[in-house]
Amino acid sequence: MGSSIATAGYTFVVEETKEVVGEDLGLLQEKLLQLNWGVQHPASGPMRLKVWVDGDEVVKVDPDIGYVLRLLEKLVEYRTWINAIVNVERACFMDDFGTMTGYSIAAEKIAGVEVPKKADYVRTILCEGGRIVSHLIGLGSFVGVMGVHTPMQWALIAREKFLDAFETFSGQRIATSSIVPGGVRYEPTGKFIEKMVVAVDYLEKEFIPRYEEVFVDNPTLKIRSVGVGKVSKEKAIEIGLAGPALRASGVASDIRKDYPYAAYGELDFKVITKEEGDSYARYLVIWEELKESAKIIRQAIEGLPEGDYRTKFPIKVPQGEAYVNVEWARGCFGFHLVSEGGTGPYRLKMRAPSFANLWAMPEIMKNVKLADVPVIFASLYMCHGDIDR
Amino acid sequence: MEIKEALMVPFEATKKVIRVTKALFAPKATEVWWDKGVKRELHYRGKHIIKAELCIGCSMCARACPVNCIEMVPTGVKKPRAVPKVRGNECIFCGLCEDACPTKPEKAIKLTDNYSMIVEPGTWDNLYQFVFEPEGLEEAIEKAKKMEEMIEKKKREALKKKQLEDKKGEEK
Ligand code: SF4
Ligand code: SF4
Repeated sequence: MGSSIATAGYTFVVEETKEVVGEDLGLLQEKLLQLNWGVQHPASGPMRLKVWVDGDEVVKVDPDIGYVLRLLEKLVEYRTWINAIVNVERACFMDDFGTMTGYSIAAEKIAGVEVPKKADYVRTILCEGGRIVSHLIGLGSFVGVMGVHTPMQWALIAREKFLDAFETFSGQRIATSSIVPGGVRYEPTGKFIEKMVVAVDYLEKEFIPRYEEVFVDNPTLKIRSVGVGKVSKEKAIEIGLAGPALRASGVASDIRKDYPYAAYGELDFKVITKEEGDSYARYLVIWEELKESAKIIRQAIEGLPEGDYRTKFPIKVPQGEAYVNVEWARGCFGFHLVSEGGTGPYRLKMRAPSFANLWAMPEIMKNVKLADVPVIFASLYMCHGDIDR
Repeated sequence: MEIKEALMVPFEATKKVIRVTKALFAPKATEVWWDKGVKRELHYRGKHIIKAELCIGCSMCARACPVNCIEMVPTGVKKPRAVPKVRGNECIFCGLCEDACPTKPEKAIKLTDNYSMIVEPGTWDNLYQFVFEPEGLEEAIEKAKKMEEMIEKKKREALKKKQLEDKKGEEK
């Protein structure tokens, strides 16, 4: 470890070296200290951040991952085309619809199956519902790492309404396994639509105004986050940021707009971008996307066509490959699916946005203050589930 | 000032005692929910119900299960040759077995809105024995046996008839 730091151009003095400890105060100041941030730290989740600090300043950050590795990609190889969704959706429990949609579209591409229009619309509603649910927790945990836990509680109340709608649709609240190759598994009943409208109403009429009054444009929050972890547009592209973090640096990249899938091509929505590129901008992007998603849900419910919600998907799929990108809550999620003509996928590679953000993080965290580490970490909006997979 | 404070002490203490006693007899803030009959949504994916008399023993459910927790138990009769048994401990309640079941109009394997599944104590032995058994298996087997017997009888009768006819034909 010491040598890797030395090659990176930092002076690293091993703590045990006798001359340093207590004898020369001048040298002591140069000493780098390694802090272990995690594994159970509330701000980092099941992950260890090795943080080297020089006094109060962070010199280097090295993420240590793998604590929630479940071999999802490998497990998919032992599944059939339909029941592989249970592994795909477990990439992250917060927005499981996005991943299932991506996988299903890839499988349909290889098999050459056309999905009914209604299924596309239901997928859109569910994906946006998942995005809202995920963004709510993102907002809550961003303010949460600064020590204020009220927004998280408010967000969970709003989230609960969406989970109720998901339960009405699929019978489960979190692991819904509701989107399969060939469409969606259940009929979108009137009751589901009703519950979804109730949830969106609650979000727009109760949660958003109340939250906006207190936690957006909040001076204390701004002191902690404005200008912290700034990433310029060029830098963001260079280090490969994804999702809200990329859009907060002024890059208008959104798969829903660029390569429309499901019903996004027919709906009207904006891509939220901010120019500042700091933690606060990333927070605002998540915040504004929440409103945009609510709008998309309303449009999709209005435009919900009649007809079938599922077509037959063949048991054996011909040989082929497909690469599909979807705009997941945390960014662009890629699926590279390979078929060898069997009853299940031959190989699935998932390209996860959180993983990209994670390895951009050490770059962003150079020469920041120690207290800024959790703020930047939370603003990058990562999920451990899809970092490790 | 000090005297006043000292005078307040017993007063404060009584107040506290009263508050604690009140709290002791107040209704509980938390609810014990599982015996309250909380209704889940209609197609909530809970405990399985397997109806042996509907099952045709095709084992589609076992093949559809992503975690391989369905075991096909041989019945000893021809139809159904085997019926599913779900290891509840391993099941992830995805409902794909229900989707795969081909019986119409009612599925032989179904997930109900029964969500109270308590195994106590949760040792490995107990969890391993937590299995959703097929319902009405004995009756189904008996029925199947009777059916088989009947079919056998009919077959035998038909055979006898044929032989008789053959004999008659020979005699003529
Ligand atoms: S609900 Fe349980 S038994 Fe049925 S397919 Fe899913 S995991 Fe298997
Ligand atoms: S429960 Fe349904 S799918 Fe399973 S063996 Fe019986 S008929 Fe076939």
